[in-house]
Amino acid sequence: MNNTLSHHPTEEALVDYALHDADEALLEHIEQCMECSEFVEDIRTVGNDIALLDDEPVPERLSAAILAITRKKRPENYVLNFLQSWYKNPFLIGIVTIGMVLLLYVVLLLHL
Amino acid sequence: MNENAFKAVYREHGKNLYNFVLWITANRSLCDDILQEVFVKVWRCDTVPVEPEEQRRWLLTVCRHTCLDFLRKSSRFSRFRMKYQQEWYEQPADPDAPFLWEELQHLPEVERSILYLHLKIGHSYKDIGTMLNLSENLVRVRAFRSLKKLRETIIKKEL
Repeated sequence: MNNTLSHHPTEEALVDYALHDADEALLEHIEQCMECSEFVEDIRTVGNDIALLDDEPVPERLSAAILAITRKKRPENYVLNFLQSWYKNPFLIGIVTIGMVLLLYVVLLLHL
Repeated sequence: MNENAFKAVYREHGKNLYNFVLWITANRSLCDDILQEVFVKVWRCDTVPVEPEEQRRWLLTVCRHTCLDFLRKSSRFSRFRMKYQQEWYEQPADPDAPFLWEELQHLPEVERSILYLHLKIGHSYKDIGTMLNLSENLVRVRAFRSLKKLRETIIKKEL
């Protein structure tokens, strides 16, 4: 890129430089060019002003309300619970056994 | 997530998330509801990332999505904003802050989010792109546009 005094870098490149000092190749131009130097300085000032805007503390009552969330019962994951414990239910074991016997019967009928 | 882990997440990220929501909504009343909703989601979620950086990114993403859901649902948002903005500007620490706040609120939400995540939290454009579902280059362009816009407004004000 030709960054001579008559060929200014793009404003996007200058913003990148102002925030990150990423492109050292721009430094020489910025040091010599009043216009670009002012632009970089302005962007840095705006960026710093934003970064320094005060953060607010979380209000006490909101903090208490959020920490009280843990007193609420978590919703159960019914599908996972079922998959983990279906075999402990005698009724379901019976249903599955009958289903398998019927399936075996149908398969045998089709093949004989 | 167990109770101790939940409290640790709140202690670590609560303040940042609160300020991120305020930054997006400029509305304290809405902010309370949104932050509670975010932490209800955290409490109910079994897959909250454990690695600190990943956890922070995950929380900020959940937070932003919750904000946008609330804002979409609230058809009265514009009225809300006008009503509560006055409260927002009360007693700023920095004498120039009200003007800067006002100008920030004129930016599109996505640009405000980018400026907050980049300048206040220090996330890279790449990370922000992942969180906001934008390309790294688009994040860079939006950051550039918003800072340029703010600079021009401040120059106009000074003239």
